Amino acid sequence: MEQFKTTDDLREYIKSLGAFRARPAITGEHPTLYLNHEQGTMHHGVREKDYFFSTCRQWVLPHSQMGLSFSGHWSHLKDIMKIKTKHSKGNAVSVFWVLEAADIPNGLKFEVDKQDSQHYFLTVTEMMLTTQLAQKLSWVADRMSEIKDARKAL
Amino acid sequence: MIRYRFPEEKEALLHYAITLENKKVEEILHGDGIKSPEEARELATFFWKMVDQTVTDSDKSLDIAGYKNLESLCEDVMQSLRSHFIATGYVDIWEEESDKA
Repeated sequence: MEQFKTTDDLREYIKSLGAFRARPAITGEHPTLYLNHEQGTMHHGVREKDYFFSTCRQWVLPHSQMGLSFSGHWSHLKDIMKIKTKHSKGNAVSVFWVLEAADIPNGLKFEVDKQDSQHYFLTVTEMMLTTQLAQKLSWVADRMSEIKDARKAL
Repeated sequence: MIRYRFPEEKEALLHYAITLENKKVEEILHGDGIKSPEEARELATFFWKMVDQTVTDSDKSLDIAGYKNLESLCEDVMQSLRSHFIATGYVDIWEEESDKA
């Protein structure tokens, strides 16, 4: 767990990570699941609009440009952190990250956003149950490193 | 043209363009997107003002484009706008305004 006091310190640390995939989260938020139901329609903590669901919503289908959003560059991460910080009500905003080369569960894959090379989707590559996707996303979260209270560095 | 990932993004942007009385942004949203550096700066500046307003509206539990917690909606809008700034060659202006926010 790391803490930083200035933007420069944080930016240089982020750059030193190499090819990373990161998501900021306000204290109380889960790094990869949405547990707040005011953020749109959810299925087991997965936003309906993030993935390609079957009509019955019990299954998730493969799509290379749909998935949970991750930042792959400092510039993108900084923008998301600013939004989170403004909405944090004074609570800490931490950055959770994994290396691109890190193991992720079978059936999931990071794909670059064709519209923004600094943005990635954690996509589904094979049909799976919605509950399985939620478990896999939780597994990823458990293995993410944390930069604690990164808003101090903005 | 701005390619929104989700239709509620445009609804929210238009709502705030009207609420924050920004006719220039309304025209950009109704038109083909940004066509000049001046329009790029106007839209980028507006986005961060909109984010500030969503914080106020979230605190009041206002329903905007079907959402009461507007945090993830702002992230979605940001992604669509960033992509538009990249596609139109104005991403440096986006970065400058983001750094000021």
